[in-house]
Amino acid sequence: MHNFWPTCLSRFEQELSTQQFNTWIKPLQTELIETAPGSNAIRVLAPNKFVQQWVKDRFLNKIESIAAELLPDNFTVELCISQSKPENTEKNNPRKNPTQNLSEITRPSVLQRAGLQKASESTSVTIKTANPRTAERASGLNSSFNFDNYVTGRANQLARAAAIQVADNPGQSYNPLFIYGGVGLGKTHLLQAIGNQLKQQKPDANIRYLHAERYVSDVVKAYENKAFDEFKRQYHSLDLLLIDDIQFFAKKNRTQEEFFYAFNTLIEEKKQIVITCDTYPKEIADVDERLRTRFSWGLTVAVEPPELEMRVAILLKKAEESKVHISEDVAFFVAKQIRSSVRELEGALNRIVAMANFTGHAIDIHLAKDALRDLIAVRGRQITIENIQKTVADYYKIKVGEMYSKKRSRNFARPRQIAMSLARELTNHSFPEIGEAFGSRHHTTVMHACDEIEQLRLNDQTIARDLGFLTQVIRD
Amino acid sequence: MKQLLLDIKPAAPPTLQNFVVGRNAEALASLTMAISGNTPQFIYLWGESGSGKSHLLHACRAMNINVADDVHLLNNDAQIDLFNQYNQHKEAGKFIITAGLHAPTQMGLRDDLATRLAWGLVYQLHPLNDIEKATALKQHAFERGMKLPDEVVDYCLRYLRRDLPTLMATLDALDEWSLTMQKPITLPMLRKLLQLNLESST
Repeated sequence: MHNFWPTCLSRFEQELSTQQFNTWIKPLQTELIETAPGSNAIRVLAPNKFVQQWVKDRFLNKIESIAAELLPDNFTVELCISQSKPENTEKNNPRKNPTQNLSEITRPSVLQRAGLQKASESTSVTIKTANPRTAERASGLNSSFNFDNYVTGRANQLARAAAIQVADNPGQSYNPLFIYGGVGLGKTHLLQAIGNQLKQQKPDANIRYLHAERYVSDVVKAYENKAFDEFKRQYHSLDLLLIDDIQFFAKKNRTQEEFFYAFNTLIEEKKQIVITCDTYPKEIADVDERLRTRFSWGLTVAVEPPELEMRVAILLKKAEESKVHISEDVAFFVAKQIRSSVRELEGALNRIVAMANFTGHAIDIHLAKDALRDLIAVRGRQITIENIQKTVADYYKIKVGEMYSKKRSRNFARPRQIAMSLARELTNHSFPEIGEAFGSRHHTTVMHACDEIEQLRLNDQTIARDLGFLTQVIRD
Repeated sequence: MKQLLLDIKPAAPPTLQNFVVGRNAEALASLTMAISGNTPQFIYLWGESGSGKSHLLHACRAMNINVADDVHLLNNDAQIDLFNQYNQHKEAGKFIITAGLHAPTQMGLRDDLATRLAWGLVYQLHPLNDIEKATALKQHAFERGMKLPDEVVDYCLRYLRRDLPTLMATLDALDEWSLTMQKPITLPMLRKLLQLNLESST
């Protein structure tokens, strides 16, 4: 029994490529269970459903045949998903439950003071979805955005305070409230939080959240259907209008005109308007002067990019919401890599969680580094034979001309061979094409070079190191 | 006289099952899970041409999933369209998959779109190595019902450009040729084809 799994591993290791072996077989774990008195099963545990299916389709037969060969008859093989794996989260997402939402709100936000609270310990790993309930659709509100889960720091505390003020006294304090700032900094979150807070306090309030583009298309539809009365009735009867990304009104004259009327009506009736934009009112391009003036009637506040500690706090908060534990080290590491927007921070966290789920590994800095690579990769140069030749020649301090010369001394031939093998590895060129690029050499010369360098890579540490270094330089 | 080619089998449409996975196992797993409704809402795939973006996007589109390919080519208006789609999908809790040449912020796209591409899951797709390309060729041949000798595969990887589109196109041409000539696919046939190809292009 005790050598069953090691045997499986070594046979698969021989049969499969390293890549395949590491991806599909290595993450598997085994346990021995008693299914009934006298009968036992080897349970093979896959880190997730996907790997389970993959192993079932391709490798299970083999595992079973090894079992038949090595184990007594009363043993069977079962393929399951590992228990520490993420639970199915779709059904029991706490944020979809309004009562739990309320209890979350009552907890004072330690994160906001310290910026650094550990997420609750949990083995379950999920990625969140925001599935708005049908009732929310008409108002455009999504109950998962509230003030409590809006992480505050120096960058946005003013905007948050103003937003709370407006939600508590709509139409009374700042009207309109104009929030501006770069992309992905949480402006939409603030708008939604205002709407959700008012809805909680006054369930009958007529609230509408929409993106400016939606307003533009509503105007177009009203125009096409000659339904402006209906359009006006809808917008002019609101208690709270939350309109996102107003810069999209640029050059849309009819939209601007309709909005001008709606704006005047609502303000006159002391109904609250909150607007977000990527810049402050005076700077909005191609929007009517009379609208721009009106935008600054109330209060204009900025949302700045979050500083490091705040980014860490945001990550920990998002992780907690997704019921994932990440350490402060990991949060700091990610926050240092991703500076510009909250959306990218979320993307980073999503990917880290997905990778942890997939590989079954714990979330540490090593995993985070791997996971972030795809998100923040800097655009590499196009790899050509020419820049391989130049890089290699520079590295070995020879002239690039020696790459095509006929000289056969070791000082020139070895770098030339290295460049050929890198060209084979890093580009899609064929052997004849590579030969052509190296002073019209025959393709068998290139093939020989590739074989020779491959041997050296395995046996000569200096060459192996040079190749690693050069590959990195050429790729970047 | 050429035989009428009535029985050419079209290549099997790209699916998630016939994707040669190479180093892209996690990306494929996430796609599979997302399609079966298991979150997340957005996936963005990027990588050089021939890395499998279009294959996966076609496979997804065939399952009625919203996709947008080649986002690096979008002009300003098209970028705003996609931006709107992202917002609408987010609001409706629906799934969208996009693909482009580089990482989200490396294509000079509008910031509001680029950050949305980076929002869900982002994967770089890695092109196949030569062994995996051989697997892909054999699988393609199998799906078309071709008998493809190993030496032909070896020859292709040795003497042709090794991007998948070139390799697949060569295979398809070979198949067509073998049906026309009513002869099995052999190495001499491939050589002859390449030579004819060379002559006709010069």
